[in-house]
Amino acid sequence: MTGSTARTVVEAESTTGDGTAVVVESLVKTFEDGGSSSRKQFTAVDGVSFIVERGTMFTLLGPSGCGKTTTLRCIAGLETPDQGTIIVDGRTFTSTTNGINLPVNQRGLGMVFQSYAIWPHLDVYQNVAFPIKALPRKRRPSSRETRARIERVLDVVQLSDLENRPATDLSGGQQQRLALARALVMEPPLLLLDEPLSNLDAKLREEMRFELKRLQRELGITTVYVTHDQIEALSMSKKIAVMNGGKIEQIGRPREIYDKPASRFVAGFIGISNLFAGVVSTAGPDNARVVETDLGTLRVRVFADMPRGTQVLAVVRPEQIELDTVSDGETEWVGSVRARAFVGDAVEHMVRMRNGADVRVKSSPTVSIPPGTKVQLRFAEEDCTVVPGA
Amino acid sequence: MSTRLGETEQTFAVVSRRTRLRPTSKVVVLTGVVMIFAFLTLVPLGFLLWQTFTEGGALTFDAVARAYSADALGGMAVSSVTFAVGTAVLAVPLGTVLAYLTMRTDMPFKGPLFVAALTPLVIPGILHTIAWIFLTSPRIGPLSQLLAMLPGSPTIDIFSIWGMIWVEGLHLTPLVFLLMAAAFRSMDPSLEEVALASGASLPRVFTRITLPLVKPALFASILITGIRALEAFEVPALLGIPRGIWVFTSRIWRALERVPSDFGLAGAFAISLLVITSVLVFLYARLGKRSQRYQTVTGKGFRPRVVSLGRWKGPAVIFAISYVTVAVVLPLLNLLYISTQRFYAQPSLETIANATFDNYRYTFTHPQVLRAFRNSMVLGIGAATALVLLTAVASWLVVRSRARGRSAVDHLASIPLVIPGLVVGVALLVVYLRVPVPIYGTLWILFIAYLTRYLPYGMRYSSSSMYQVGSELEESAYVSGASWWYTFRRVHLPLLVPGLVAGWIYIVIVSVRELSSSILLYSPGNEVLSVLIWEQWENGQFTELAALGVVMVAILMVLVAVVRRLGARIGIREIA
Amino acid sequence: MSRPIIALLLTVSLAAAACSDANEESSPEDGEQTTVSLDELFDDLEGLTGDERRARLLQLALEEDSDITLYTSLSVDDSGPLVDAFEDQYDIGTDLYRASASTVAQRLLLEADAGFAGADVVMVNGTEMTVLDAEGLLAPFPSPVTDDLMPSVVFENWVGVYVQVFAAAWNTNFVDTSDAPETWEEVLTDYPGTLGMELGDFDWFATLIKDYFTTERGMSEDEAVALFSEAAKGALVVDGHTLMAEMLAGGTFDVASSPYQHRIQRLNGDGAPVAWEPAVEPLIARPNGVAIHRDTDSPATALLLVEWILTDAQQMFAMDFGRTPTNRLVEGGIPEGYEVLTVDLVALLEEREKWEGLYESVVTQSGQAVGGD
Repeated sequence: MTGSTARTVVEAESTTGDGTAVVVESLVKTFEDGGSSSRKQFTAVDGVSFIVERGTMFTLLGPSGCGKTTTLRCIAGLETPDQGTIIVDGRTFTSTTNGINLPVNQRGLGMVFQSYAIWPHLDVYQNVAFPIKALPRKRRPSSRETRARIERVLDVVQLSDLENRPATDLSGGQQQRLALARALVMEPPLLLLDEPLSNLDAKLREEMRFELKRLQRELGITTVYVTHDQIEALSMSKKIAVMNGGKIEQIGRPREIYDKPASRFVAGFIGISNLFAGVVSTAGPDNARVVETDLGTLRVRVFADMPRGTQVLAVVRPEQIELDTVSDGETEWVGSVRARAFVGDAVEHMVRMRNGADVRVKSSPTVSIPPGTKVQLRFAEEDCTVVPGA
Repeated sequence: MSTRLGETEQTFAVVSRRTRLRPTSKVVVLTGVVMIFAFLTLVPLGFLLWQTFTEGGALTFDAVARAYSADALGGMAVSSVTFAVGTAVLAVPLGTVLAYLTMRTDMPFKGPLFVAALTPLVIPGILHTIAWIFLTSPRIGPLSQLLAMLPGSPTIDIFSIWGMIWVEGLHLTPLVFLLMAAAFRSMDPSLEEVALASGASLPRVFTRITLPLVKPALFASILITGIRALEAFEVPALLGIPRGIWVFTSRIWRALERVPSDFGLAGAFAISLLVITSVLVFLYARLGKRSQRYQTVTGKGFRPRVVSLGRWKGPAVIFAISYVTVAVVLPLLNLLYISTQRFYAQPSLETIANATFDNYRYTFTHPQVLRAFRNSMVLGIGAATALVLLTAVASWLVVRSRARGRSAVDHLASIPLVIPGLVVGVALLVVYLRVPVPIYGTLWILFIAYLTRYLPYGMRYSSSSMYQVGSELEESAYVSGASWWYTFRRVHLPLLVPGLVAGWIYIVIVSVRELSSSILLYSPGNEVLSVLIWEQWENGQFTELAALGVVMVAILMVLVAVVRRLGARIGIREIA
Repeated sequence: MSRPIIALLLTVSLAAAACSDANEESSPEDGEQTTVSLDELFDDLEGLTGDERRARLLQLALEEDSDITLYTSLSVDDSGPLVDAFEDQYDIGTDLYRASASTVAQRLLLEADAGFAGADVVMVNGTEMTVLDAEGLLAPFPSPVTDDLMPSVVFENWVGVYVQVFAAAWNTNFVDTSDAPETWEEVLTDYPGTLGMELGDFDWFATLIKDYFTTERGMSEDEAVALFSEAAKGALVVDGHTLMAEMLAGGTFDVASSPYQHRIQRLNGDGAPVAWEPAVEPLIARPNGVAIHRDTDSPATALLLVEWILTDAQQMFAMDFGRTPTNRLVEGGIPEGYEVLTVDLVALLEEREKWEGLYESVVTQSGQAVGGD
């Protein structure tokens, strides 16, 4: 169900015409399971479609094995999809229906690999110069222009004073910037980034997050970013596609994804969610619904077709809940504190509800309720998202 | 925004299925390499089978019948097996203990012991065998004289199955040493340490804990010594024939030495030998493949902590000294002595005082010797270079490409492992006497023989190097717009260089030692060094032979030292 | 700009190089001479003898202006000086390939099979010469020089150059004169475990059996063969007569069954502890021959070498090499008075397979294989 939602979103946005830089449609890629003797087929990408607006960063987010890297590699040309269409900047890279598949080295994209893939036998300058040197003689620019380009891009990534350093002498962060410089030197229409920050330590990762975002903004370069880290996705992207099991579960802006997860998976993957199982008891106008749960009743607005009787999950984030004292006679949303932990900028409470479910609550650091205390959960119904599921 | 470089027009984007057969450099190079592999490995085998099993176009088992009707057949089979088993029984324990002492204990003089243990690898088989004949010559060999002084005056008869086992065993010990040293080096020491801490004695720990841990390597060593012994030519020819001990290789050679050469007979024996070695190699491949592939060629891995020898230090040192003296020092020293004499006589103060350098003068000035040097160098360097380049490309095909049937190329390259050198010689003789390509009588036929024989080794070095070049290094090149050929030249080759250089030098060293193929394929003027030694032996030119041998060993040792230096430096530049 | 043709270029150049000659040996075609054919050569020299002939021949050879190659089984310490002497006298480059007679013969047959002619002149023992002749590899050379040779050694396509004599020998350090063998039976029975035999001497073997053991000694052929068989059981069988003699001198064995007399004589003269006298009789003699290869492309130079070997060099053979020259005008060789049996080359050629096979089974039987029979 969520697949079709994603598709309608795509169709709606494709009417923006030449603001579109990348179109991926109905991409399917299967692999032979080479390890075992039985010839099993494993579907890594199962009907993925999305578009990327020019000059924006689009992120494929998901757990390992969800197909995000394979999708990226299909765009790059390192994998050949079984079905689907890939169009970048008006050029058809892949169209299985027309028998088109442009070889990887004719696509003219920039890509940063997870391991950076810096050539250890070359120095910084030579690494960046490689894409230019690899051009056929006819199309190669003069050596003066080559040098100018390289120095320009090294300046952008702030590696200018390391020009002649052997690539192996660079730190992790420097190598990453070198990889970036190499990807950008040809001024490609599209930049592909495959988990570029995962090999960095936490502090550097944070720095580089801002750096990359700034760079992308300044250069205005269309980017497709792949990661399993939701913080990166949420903080850097204009649009996120959450992937699971080869399919896209939801595409949307970061805030949408976070506030209004379209499926249980998204709700569980992004941020921390408390899920309350319930049933739609009444359907009202304007997508209003009443949901009956074990713990209480909710009046919410939904975004999908949920008639009476649909099994749903109500999603409430820990920071959206406040803990209140319980007046006598109150039965809805009542439980008792099982544990609390001070984590510096908040206090996390674990509340055991009446039906046995555990709810996580993130309270302000001044609120600290001892375990055993009976409490009632308070949260705004409009903060509550409802996703299908049991 | 400035113009985008590398932009291709839309029309180029249409890649239909037909263009897959376009002769890009990639297709040409890859196809060429595969064709060469097939030519080198399958053609000789095919001809050999055809020669043995057909007569005037009809299928016949006549040759096989003749081969196996000989009365002495049973003796030959028994001798071959005894020889192979005996060699393994000698070489494997010897090599294993040496490796253990060098790699895992606090044995003193580890460095020199390492060098000494590997030295016999450098000595050509023919020279090694002749050195032992001199050493144990009844009455005038130094070792015989030494033994005569012992109570009971034991004598050694080197011309016996025991002599054969002894000489070949000593010759193959370095091989076992290398294999086991690698295994010991990458062992987890904690198991041993626990055992020692709980009070077990060192020998007990060695037999109960250490050996079981390296079982795969141990079995591999046993198999490979067995295979090598079955393929050996010099030892059975020089030590076995005189007493009527015949093995497969000597029978093959004898069949060809007839006037006229009996190819059918030679072929029948060759194919039988081939079948046996195939089975053994298959077993060996099963054992060794898994671990070998992912081992780093240079040891940047962790160094396991050493075990203290304690009260076993004394015996260990005595053992090491005895081994070095008997296996390395005595034969070489005796050779050196003989090289300074006018004729072969037992060493005495008088003979040593009358030392002469005539033999060395002969070696350095005689045109035949100089020509043999040149031939060996040309062939060795030529074969090494060709193989290194060929296998670099082939290793890409096997390791990195997604072509269907790429593992077949790997299997093709492994076929020569199964074929004894002598059989390669026979097969090539048959091919080039039938096929109207005029390379018989030139160096080219030897060149092809060397290419065939050392193809598996080149492949091994290239493949393991290729595994270490991450696929992302290649992919980023393609994404950057480089063609396959450009990437191969500018990314793969430079990164493969350390492994390729090691392989190159290895091939040069082993090809200079080669005899069993060369002896069948050389023609006057195209002798190589080991063939020259063989000829000199047959001509009774003992003293000249000794001088030539000493020079050869000296040069090879220098080469090996260079390799070790290079290897140390190369290891540091490896990809982090 | 890509370079896709490298592999093809390499293959092409390899093929081209393979077709060109690596050494100066003749090209694979046979028969057709470039300058003068053998027949024309002999026509040219018709009637000429002595110095006149030599002068004319030399002139023709110099016109050919090529190096030649000699394949021989003459031991290396003699063939070297021989070739040097020829080169010195006529300033014609001569390459030498020396190996055992059977190896040389086998190689020549192989080369003929491959359409390749490495040798211009062949000089090996008579047994192998007859085989080469039977295979048609030798060219006739009707030369007046052969008139001076022993008639028994003159054949149609080859002639004897010197006579090789087999004589049993022993190491005097370990065998006293009193213990030395006096008859062939003693040689074969009295030295178990310390006897040296040669791997390929089936001609010596056949002659002894046919013309001595079964005739003079009245044994049946089987009995005679058994005698040799017993002897070989504990013996050391070596490949090469020089090797055999050197090993005898070194004491590897006490008695050698079929070394060459001249080698023992020479070693003895050099002070080595070997002797052949008082001789075990009869001595076995066999002519070694010389011939021109049918496919030589330098016939005049080849003929020059052959004629020189049969005339000027005969002195060298007698004096320096200790051989028995076949040229009756030259003195030398074994002392008179010894009973000598000559190998019957013609019969041997016919019965080669039988005798070769018999001898092979004698010397290749498993001696001390496993269990020490």
